[in-house]
Amino acid sequence: MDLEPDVLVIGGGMAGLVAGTVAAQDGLDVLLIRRGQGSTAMSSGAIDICGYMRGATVHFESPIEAIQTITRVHPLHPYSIIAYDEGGIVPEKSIKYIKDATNWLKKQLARSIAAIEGDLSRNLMQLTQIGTTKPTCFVQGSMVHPGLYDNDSRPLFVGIRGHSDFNAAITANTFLQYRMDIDMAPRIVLNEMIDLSPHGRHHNIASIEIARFLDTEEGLEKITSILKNEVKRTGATHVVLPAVLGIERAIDNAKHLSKETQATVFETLAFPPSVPGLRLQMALDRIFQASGGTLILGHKAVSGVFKGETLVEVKASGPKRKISIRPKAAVLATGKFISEGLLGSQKGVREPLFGLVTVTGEFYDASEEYPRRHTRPIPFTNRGHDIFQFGVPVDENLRPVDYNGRAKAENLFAAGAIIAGYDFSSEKSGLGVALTTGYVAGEKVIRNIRSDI
Amino acid sequence: MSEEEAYEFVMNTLRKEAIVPLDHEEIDIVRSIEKCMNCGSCINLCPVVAAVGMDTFSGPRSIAIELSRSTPEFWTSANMIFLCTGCGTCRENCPHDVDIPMIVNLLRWVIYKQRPELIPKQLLEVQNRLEKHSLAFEPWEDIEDKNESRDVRIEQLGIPFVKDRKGVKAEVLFYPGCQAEERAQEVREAAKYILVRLEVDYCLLSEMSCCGLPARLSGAKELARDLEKKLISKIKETGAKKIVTTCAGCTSSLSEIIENSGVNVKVYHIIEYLMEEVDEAKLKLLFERGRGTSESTITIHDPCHLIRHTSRMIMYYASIILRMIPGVSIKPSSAFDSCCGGGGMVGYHSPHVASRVTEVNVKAIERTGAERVVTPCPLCTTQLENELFRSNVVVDVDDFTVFIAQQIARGER
Ligand SMILES: Cc1cc2nc3c(=O)[nH]c(=O)nc-3n(C[C@H](O)[C@H](O)[C@H](O)COP(=O)(O)OP(=O)(O)OC[C@H]3O[C@@H](n4cnc5c(N)ncnc54)[C@H](O)[C@@H]3O)c2cc1C
Ligand code: SF4
Ligand code: SF4
Repeated sequence: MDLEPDVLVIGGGMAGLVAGTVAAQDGLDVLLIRRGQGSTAMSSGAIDICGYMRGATVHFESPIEAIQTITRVHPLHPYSIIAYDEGGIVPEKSIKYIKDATNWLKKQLARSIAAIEGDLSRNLMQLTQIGTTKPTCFVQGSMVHPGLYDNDSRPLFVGIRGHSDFNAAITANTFLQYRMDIDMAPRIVLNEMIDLSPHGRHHNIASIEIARFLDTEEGLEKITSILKNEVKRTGATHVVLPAVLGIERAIDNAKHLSKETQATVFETLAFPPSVPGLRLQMALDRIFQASGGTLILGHKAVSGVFKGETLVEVKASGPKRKISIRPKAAVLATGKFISEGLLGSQKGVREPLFGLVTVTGEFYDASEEYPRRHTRPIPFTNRGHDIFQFGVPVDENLRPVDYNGRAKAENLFAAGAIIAGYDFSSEKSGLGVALTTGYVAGEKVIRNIRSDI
Repeated sequence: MSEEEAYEFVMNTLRKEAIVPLDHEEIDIVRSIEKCMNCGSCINLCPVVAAVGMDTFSGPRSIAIELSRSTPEFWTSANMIFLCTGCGTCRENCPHDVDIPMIVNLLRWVIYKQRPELIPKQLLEVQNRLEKHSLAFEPWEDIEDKNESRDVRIEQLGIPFVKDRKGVKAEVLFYPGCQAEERAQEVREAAKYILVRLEVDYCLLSEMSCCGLPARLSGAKELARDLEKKLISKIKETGAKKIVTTCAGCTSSLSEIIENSGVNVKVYHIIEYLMEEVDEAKLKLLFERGRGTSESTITIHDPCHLIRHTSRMIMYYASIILRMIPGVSIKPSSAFDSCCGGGGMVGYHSPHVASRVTEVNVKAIERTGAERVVTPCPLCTTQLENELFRSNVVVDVDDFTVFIAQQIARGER
């Protein structure tokens, strides 16, 4: 059967789901196909807007400040591209879009399993699973830790026996060292190991298992009584947990535990596969479906048919069937290397679906660039890795462009990590760019179909 | 040394070292695990990990990065590898298409070669039956008893009996699969009835024979290949251009073997057939005639072999078809696409694990408040029925085909 939706969204991470939801909420018939999880599900579930200028060692106090700088220094950054107006960049336009997008998302996620807190006027210094901190802007309700950095705080780091993702002693130690480096260490930092075996054994426990266990009454009761004792015994003001507080009930659980123990109980930022990342992904999936969008998982877009300057058909394949989709407009939100929105090999970097032009961070042709030449031997540096900036160049309407700078198709838009010109990793801007470009692409698609652009 | 002798010599050495050589297709499967980046997205979603924990079943990531990697001693993973239900959740969510369910089949086969005594004995029994009867279940001893059981079932369900069409050539071959042939006969009868009412030129195989899926899932690759060959030649005999099935496993398995055999036949689950080959107006008319005779709130369970081994589009179609029926309202279940637990032969040797997996579904189904669950697979139907019953949840379970046949039959009366 051929499908003829108004909008086809290819890729279901933050960017695709936001674009799809925005379009569906406007009454358009939206079909989203996705071949697997991408980096949204792998993220820590905290939404970075912008934490650093690439290469800088000091972070931005606020995302607003960050956007004002970036739009002035990097004219081809996605945050700048959306700010083009009559040929020039108007930083306020970018800030307005980011405000609209984040307010919108906050509202959509309210009461979901990934409800977020935070605002654009400041970056939060969020504690990670290894005891370091990272600037981010919006965190899920189960992650907030007010007062943690006060001098009189008394944090208790709690690990779970058999859960190898989180070592409370090491994390506590790193935390203390970092705080001492800046002369702001609390007087006392505690750590403890507790027993919380979801399946009756104390080895090989995955974060997800604990999260599932804490979604049950039994699990919640168990952890409540343990933590109550621990806090009473130690006089802790904060209880630092790995990101395991639940899949469906994490936020309520955090509130409940904080109330019962009289300490601030919260989750740290986690590495993949993180439970909060999964919560964010699930919440976005649900919002999209609730807005009337159709989500078809397990299908990979494999080719497109263009007629003149219009994308007329996208072919997709599932495990054993092929489908043809003829949308009025499409959003390409296939992500970067992790989700194979871009493919890199010795031969160069290409966009496998439509064969779009790819460029480096400096906007040179990337089709013959050897990816390894654009990475550094040190994994984490403030300069990042140039390879992360590779992507598809877009025009001010977020349409991928050809070598002449003209839109490849008037009805094809791009959003998220597939777009060239920024480095999510050194800037700490990943989900923020995906959200904002997804939101803008959603609006562009609506206007395209309602025949304005 | 002649070439044959040299070959034998090498094979003997390999056998001594417990190394099992793979063919090209299998090497492709192994290649797919090289793409694993160890991200762990899959373990967050695996229903068996959810049900029994990572310590009992180390999960898809571990299958990709540990259990399937370069050791000849693959048999050491036997305690884990037989617990995978083959649901395909990991593969569907994997960013890099790592083909875990196929790797699992492959490992089971290697273990079968290396240490057959480690294969759960229930699986060996299935293999024996398949070898003897080309069916996954022991056939009925007395055909009269079989017919009687069939008549009782369809009578209860209000599905009229129509005669088998065997030994004739037809455009469409209806292939019920082992479960509907030997156990859930009402599904087979329901499909025949629907095809007749839609005036489809169909036939059945003169003698049913298994598609080989249970053999493949239990590690008996050679047996699976024999069964496939046998079935392909039977299919060719009928001259059919289309095959319609009612079983999720058969749909994906037939799609696979037909594709590999190069025969020019198209495989449809009956849902796809109704959607793509039947005039919508005709179907609607049949449903309309039964209007007012029944009201029901249903919830839908998506079989893994349809959504994750064939295509999610099929269940998208199913909901379109169900919405055509007057008086039916659908309540979505939060676990609609979670494995029923019965797959991958797990139910045969570790029913407690299968039950734990089904528990998730049972709870979600109960929460919907629907009167019945409809699912287009006789195997899922049985697994859900048993578990709902065990948990004292009063919700009926109907196979999709049976449910549709009932709606059409109502209009006939
Ligand atoms: C490990 C890790 C941790 C991170 N942590 C954070 C964090 O804590 N905070 C933060 O703000 N950012 C973080 N980031 C960055 C952020 O996650 C990404 O920048 C962002 O998720 C990109 O979103 P996206 O929607 O563009 O792409 P993705 O989320 O990667 O989604 C791409 C989608 O496209 C699909 N797809 C690809 N090709 C096809 C095709 N041919 N057909 C159909 N579908 C296709 C994929 O299956 C996937 O669903 C992290 C990134 C990584 C890798
Ligand atoms: S999701 Fe895929 S890539 Fe990630 S760990 Fe699992 S098998 Fe490996
Ligand atoms: S196929 Fe299903 S049961 Fe098997 S490892 Fe993958 S997700 Fe788990």
